Amino acid sequence: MKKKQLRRNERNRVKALLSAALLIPGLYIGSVSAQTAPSSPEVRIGYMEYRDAQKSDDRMRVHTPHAWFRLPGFGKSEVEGSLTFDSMSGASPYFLSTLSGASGMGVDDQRKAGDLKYTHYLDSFSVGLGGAISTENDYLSKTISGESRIWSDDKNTTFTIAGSLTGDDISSRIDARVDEDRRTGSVLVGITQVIDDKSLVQSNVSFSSGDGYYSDPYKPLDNRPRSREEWAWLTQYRRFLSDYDAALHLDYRLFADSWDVMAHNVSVAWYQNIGESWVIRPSIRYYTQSEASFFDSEVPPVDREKRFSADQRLSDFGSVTAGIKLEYAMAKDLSVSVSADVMHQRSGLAAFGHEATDIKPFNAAFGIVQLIKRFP
Amino acid sequence: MNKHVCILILLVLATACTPVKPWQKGNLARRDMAITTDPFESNLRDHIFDSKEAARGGRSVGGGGCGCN
Repeated sequence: MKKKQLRRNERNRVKALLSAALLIPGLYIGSVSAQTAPSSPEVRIGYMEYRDAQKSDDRMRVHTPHAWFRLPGFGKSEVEGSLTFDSMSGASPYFLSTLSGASGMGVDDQRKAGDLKYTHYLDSFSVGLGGAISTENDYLSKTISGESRIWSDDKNTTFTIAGSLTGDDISSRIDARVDEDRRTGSVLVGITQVIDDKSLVQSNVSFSSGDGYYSDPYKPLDNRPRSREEWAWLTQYRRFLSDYDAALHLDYRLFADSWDVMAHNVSVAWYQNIGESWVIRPSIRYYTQSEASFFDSEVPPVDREKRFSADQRLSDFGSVTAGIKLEYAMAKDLSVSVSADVMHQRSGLAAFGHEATDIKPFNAAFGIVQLIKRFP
Repeated sequence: MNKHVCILILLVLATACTPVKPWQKGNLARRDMAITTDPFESNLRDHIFDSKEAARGGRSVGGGGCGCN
């Protein structure tokens, strides 16, 4: 009897503490990042402006209205999705493709994309199904995906397993003979682990294998392999520093593929809370990659039968992106955020470069504004 | 170098975890502690980086393709 009473008291204490945590404004969002329950509903609408320049010429401009939402579904479930409209104009960078399919002398294209994912939560696992579509004048991509998360009784460890199938149809606005496709299958396994009461880590490995057309239809000499296998290992660490009322985000990704590209990227972001309403987030990202086995900056290639590409994105290069973001809570459940990033890319920044590829340095800048509405 | 990074991460995972009770997760459940704090921004940034670099993946699967790659 006494034991029962003690257990009841213990349960009541835990309930009281959890209720207190839930009442702290703007703090508790329902579950830890391991996502073992539906997150609170949220809608975001906003706009991105992107510009790039190379060799002191202005090149591409992209305007992107974007919307994202997460809403409650039936029972213990949620529906998450987004809509994107890219509108591009200008000339694409030298040796580079664009944010859209069309590249070359002049670009004026639009991309419409949407995705939807339904996730149902049970006591110890969740199951999600999703779909995505993206259309351009010369490109159509369709994806279906599935994901399951399984967590430990104490919810300190969550395993993720996911898979997707993508079908892409590729054509060209300057060459009607291009009528190609590509099929890609991807799998991902991951673990999210609570390290202590102020830090957690997530580590995912993904593998994807594709067959079909990989060349750029706007580059007549482009002749890439018709298959590609890609590995990516992404580890993301989060630590809350209560002395500073700030959160540190550290991400590292290792990438390797069957084209002999190996890439590393590291990013650091610092979320500094200022009072009740402001968050300022400086961030920096460094990226480096080695060139693909068939990359050559000499155009035209000596042997036209061999695999060849002069696409800068397949060369040895490094890139640094620095950014800042401000978020202001106008009310308890309504916020606005503004961010700006600048990116500088050149072969001299490559950490493991072997060859002087003489690629022109490339600069880009982008800014995002958004309005965020959260629901209780 | 890759081997050292792998070993470091595995060591952190294997040795540094202390059991955390539900009522101790207030800090972990903060918005600024989410793995993806801003899915809106994440979508757009990933799209830019994927279209300007050879590497991609690791965050999720099923995001859909694009003519930019």
